[in-house]
Amino acid sequence: MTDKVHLDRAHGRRLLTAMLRIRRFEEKCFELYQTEKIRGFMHLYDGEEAVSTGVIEAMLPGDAIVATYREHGQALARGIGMDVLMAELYGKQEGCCRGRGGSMHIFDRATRFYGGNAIVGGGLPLAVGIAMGDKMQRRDSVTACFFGDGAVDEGSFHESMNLAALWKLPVLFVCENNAYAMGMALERAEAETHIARKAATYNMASEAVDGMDVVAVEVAARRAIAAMRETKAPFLLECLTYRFRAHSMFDSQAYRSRQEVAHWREKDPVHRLQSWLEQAGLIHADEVGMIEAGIETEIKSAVAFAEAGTWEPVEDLERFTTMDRVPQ
Amino acid sequence: MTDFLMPSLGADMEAGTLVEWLIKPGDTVKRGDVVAVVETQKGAIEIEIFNTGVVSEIVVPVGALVPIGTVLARLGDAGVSSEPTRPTGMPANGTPSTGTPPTGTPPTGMPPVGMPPSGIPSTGMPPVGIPSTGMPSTGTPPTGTPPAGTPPTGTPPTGTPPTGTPPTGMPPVGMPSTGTPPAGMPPTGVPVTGVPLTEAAGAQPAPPAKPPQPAAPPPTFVPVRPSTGAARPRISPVARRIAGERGIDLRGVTGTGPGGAIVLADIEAARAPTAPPRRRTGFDPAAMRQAIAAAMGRSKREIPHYYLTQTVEISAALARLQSLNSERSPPERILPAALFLRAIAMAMAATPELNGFWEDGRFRAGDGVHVGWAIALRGGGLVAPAIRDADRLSLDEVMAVMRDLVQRARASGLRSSELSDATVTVTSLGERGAETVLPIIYPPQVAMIGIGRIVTRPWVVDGTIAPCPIVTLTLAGDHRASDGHRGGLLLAGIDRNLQETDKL
Amino acid sequence: MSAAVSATGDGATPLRMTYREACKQAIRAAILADPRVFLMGEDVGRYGGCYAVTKGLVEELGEDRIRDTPLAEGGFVGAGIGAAIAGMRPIVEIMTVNFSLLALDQIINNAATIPHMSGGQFAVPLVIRMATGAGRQLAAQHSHSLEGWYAHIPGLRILAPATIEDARFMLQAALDDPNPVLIFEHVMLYNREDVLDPGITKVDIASANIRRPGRDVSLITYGGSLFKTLDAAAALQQEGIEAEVIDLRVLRPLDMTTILGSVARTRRVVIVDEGWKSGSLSAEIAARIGEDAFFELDAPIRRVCSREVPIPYPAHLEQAALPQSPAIAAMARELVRGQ
Repeated sequence: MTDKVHLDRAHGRRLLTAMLRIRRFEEKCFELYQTEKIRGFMHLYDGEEAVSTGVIEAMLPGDAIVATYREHGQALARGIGMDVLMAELYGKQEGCCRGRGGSMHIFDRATRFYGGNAIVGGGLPLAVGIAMGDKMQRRDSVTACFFGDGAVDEGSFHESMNLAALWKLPVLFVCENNAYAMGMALERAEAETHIARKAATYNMASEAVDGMDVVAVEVAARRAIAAMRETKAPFLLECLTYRFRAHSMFDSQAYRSRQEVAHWREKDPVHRLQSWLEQAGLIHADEVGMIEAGIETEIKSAVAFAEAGTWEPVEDLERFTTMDRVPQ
Repeated sequence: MTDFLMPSLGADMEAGTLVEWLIKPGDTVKRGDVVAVVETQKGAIEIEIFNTGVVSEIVVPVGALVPIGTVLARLGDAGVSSEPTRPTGMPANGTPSTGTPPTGTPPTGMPPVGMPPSGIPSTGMPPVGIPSTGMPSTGTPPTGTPPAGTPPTGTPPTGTPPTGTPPTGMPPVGMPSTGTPPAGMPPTGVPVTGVPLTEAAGAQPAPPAKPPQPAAPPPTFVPVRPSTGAARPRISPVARRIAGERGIDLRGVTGTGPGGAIVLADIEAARAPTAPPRRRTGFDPAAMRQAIAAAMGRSKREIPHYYLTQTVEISAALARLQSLNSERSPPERILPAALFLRAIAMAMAATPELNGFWEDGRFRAGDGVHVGWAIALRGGGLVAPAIRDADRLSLDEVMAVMRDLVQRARASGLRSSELSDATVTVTSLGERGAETVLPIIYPPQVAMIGIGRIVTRPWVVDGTIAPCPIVTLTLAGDHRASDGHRGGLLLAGIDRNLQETDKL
Repeated sequence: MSAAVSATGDGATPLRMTYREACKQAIRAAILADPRVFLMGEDVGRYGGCYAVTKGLVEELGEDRIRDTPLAEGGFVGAGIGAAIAGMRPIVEIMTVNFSLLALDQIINNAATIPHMSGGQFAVPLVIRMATGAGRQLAAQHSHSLEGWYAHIPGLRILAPATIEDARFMLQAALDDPNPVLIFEHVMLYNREDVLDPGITKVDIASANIRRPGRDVSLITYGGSLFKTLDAAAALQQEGIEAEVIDLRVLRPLDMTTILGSVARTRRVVIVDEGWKSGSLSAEIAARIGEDAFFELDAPIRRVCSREVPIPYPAHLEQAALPQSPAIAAMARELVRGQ
């Protein structure tokens, strides 16, 4: 059964490596932003690694992903190279979008990664459309649409859920419920805070899962996606998670207490998986050390790549405002 | 030794106030430790250090508002530093990012942005290092403040320091002054602290009194407005352009557009004389006679003429002409008139008071020496088109222009600008004229020169009498614009030019 | 000449049809020609289209090709964008420009940006059709002319078909364009009948068209105002004023070559735009003429636009608020005669 997760050494290692890559990358971005290598708005994923890792682990290369402005985790889990990702954050033309989009607008054709959307809720109709286009062209793909609890407030959530259910479009709506929409706590924004329940009003299946447990996320995602490939029916997967850092870099977090953050840090998904794997004898501490060393090298190399990168010539400013042809 | 700098925490953060230090000199810190708390527009944010080492110095005190990149503290050599933490700031293409200090570390000991510099009594704020024009760079403290070199004691001056706001008018240290205050900042010109802007902006010294301006040079354009001082006429862009291309003097054009604006149709109509409309060939002698009569009548009525004559011996000039013409066929030969014109033009350039116009009760110098050359037309008319910048043309050029003008004048092909541009007029009666001509000035010019017939007369040469070619030049001058003295200088100049033939 | 309104001609007989019919034939032909093309929007199927453009099409082409959508402009326009990115060629019908405001985020933040923002990785070959304009006493919320707003956005191509040929053939050209194209159909044109020249089988979506040459003044307009402007030109002719009428056809990018060439000949310009004057497309055109044809002008640039009011319901007020032929003629006359 494709929905069962057999957590063997390789799989466990893969999950841990994926999450560690995200965690260390985000830490590096945190540092680089403060020395103004990365500019503009940046939203870090520390604490939420299990969600993107678990869901994308259950996806196939032909599937599509739509994400939000907090999408470094999704981008890395999906396999976008750390180097082109870092170069994009630097704004260099060697970045995946020629440096045009920056942190909030990652696109990658090869991995069917469709952003990176800075408008809360703006990606949901897009995901519906991609799934629609895939279904019309008889592809087996599913589209995973990541969004936060804030997007649930927006009309586009309701329209998109309705359209996907009505037209039976294979969209996996993944709500990364980290309890805050910037500074707005969920209970102050939503009359119904159990987000998974909202799917019922659209006649859509759903599940709420512990977003700090990567295995639980993967299991749930696998189950939902397997069904979706058959029935094309959409699914809402609510992942209860938490971001350890502020909404963005410039945020004093006046809206939540240190105790709350500390409480959630104890559920750190990376530590949890690592401890669990170690206790289960599926990984040794020195192996983790080697993984970390490898990641550190990878990050160093990505930073060097970005540092050595070049700026897109100003003469090319208007390129791709309009396209000459549809890229194949 | 590594520096710990004020980090950038957001796209619109330019500075932060250090409100709490969680370390002190001697403490060991490692990468990731929270070492301080910074207050920003968005509230207090804990900041981490990315180096490992021993704190050797706290540079910025609690309460100080400092821009991004300021050295906050220093770590000693026991530290292992990670990648360089200093902001390198500028992208390679040289575009400064707003709010970014330039490469390198800002000068140490710099007082925080936002503190009023010297000139305002404030507790504990020496002006050391404030880069504002007019301020001493090494900081002569004002009376009553601690001497230069003393670290600020940390007491804010009266009034609340603006968070993140440099006083308007003075760019924050190192930042390119973009001229636009950051979003959310007080509007330009409003001092945040309530202190008058000039003081808050660094009490720039009053600019030195300007030296008295020299008299403005005469305008080099011909104003369109008529000399009666009427309101400036409106001209459509295309009318102005076509008039310029065709050399039509807009002063003579009546506008039929909205509000009397001159429009293209008016320029089209201006090519032909108003009554009756005529073709290019031929002219109306009666109309011309009337025009001449009007001009001459006005001249004699309004202009107080004075007359000076000079008899000039021109054997040298004629010899020069002969030698120039010896190798030329008749169509290329230079006539004496050209010689005279050139001599006159060069002399006029040296006596500018005679080269111009009397308008509105005063003299206006011409923008060049444009000599009007009186040409008699068959049928009895007279025109005096201008040879522009005659003083700068060579003899050959003057001759060529004269030929062209004569030919076009007789074919009625002169441009109106040629008819109106002359700054002085020269008339020659030629070979059949009288010996002396007393010309009547063509207003609004202020001088006219007449050239009589070249005759052979007895002349004193080296103490003996010999027959020589002489010509009588007469200057008519407008006594409002010049006097006999200037006029005499002009004639003397012409005489001299006709003698120094190699300069012609 | 045959007076029959027919969906298919014999190729030789000029076809008399309404603008509405031309739009319908365009949709039908496009769907039949390319399996990637489909139409979706509110009430396009069972209802037959709010303006009856798609009447009968769902019965002929099926619900997969003519899709009724829920009332969710943001949702289905975004879906259209996604489907276009995924390889389809959707035609999204937004019932009117008035409702397109609900989809502004998708159009401006997704459709217009994704090609540039992704560094050229993705194109958005989407066509959006909308009805626009006033004149049916539908009051303020149903009477906007906001095509000028959309013409402000880089990344979009904006079309305003006014003639029967453009209604029939601009759609295909728009579908062939790899970029998002918005087509604005003026509500007062749907009933307008004309003869479709059988010799025309395609049109470009790049150039303006001089519908009537003249030498005294250039009347620049588009869409629903075209015929009012042509009427004004006919009236002016009686007075001996030869007005040149330019149909912009494409509002972004503007065909400045045709516009500037006309201005250089006539030296006087009146721009007719049903949008409000302030910050409208007419303002953009006037600015460009001022920038690039200043020395050709023999008179100030003039505009005839809607009065700066929300369009009111009663007929006399609505008509007073909109540009009308007599006002256009009067403005031209003033420029030419100078009074």
